[in-house]
Amino acid sequence: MDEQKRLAQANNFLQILPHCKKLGMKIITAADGKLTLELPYNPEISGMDPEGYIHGGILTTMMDTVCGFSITAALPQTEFCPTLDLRIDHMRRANNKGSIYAWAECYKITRSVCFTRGYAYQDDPNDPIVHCVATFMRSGKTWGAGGFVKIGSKEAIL
Amino acid sequence: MNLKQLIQTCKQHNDYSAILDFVPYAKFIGVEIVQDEQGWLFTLGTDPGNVGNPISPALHGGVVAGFMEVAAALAQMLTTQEPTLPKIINFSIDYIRAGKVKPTFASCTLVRQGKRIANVHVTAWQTSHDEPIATARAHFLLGEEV
Repeated sequence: MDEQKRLAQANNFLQILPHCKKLGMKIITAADGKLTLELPYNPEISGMDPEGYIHGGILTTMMDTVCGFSITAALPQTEFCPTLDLRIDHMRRANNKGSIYAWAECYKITRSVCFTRGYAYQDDPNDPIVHCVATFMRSGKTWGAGGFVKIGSKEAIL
Repeated sequence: MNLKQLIQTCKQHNDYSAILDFVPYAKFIGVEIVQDEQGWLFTLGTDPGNVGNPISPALHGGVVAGFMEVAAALAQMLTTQEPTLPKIINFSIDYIRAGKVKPTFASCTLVRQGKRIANVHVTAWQTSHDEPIATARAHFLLGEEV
């Protein structure tokens, strides 16, 4: 699939997830199994910090989202894969000046589990804010009109 | 008013809204604090904006993690004698069950409070404490008194 089509598909999917929409997240690059997510700065999501630095929970939310979407970009068909576990290491705080970018790749898919890793940065990808690893379970199901349905079935909408 | 005085005032009135006012993200997702016999209980409301998967529907995994990180940091500050602003070093979460769109609770254990580092374990649940939706642990770097 070419990058533009994958990007449009990933952003359409992202917009139906209420929390991602509320935060104004946007996918800006989408290659096979690799994605970059952008989150604009918003003082409403800062932590207990007089300077308005973004809360760590938002970085976890970004990493969970981008790692999950990297699976969608790696599999031939969209599959519902809930998060099994996630670990995030904070190198430093995000500043209060601009967007945060989160990059992730799905580096291994087995019959039951997807393994992903990623990082988030602001100005320089070589100076990350956080590193993250996350694993996801494969369900064999996809999104249908009335609920989750078997991949490849007529009711599938993704 | 410094942080220690703020926490003392909250404890005296058993009203923690004043401390939550300093955490915009906690308000954004809808966190509240109540004190019971077991200690502090953190609650997450049922804001439809917290949904990650609209089909089930289920809470966004990042919201569950963010809620648990907020709880861990506040529990550390409320438990320690000399509160400072804890900075997150790392956070590790295991998702046990899907979080439904209903009130969610979290309780924390301050496993170790050192001079520079605190280790906090968190359990989040909906129907009963014995059926957690997620468990997590966090390390915080403890700063200067403020």
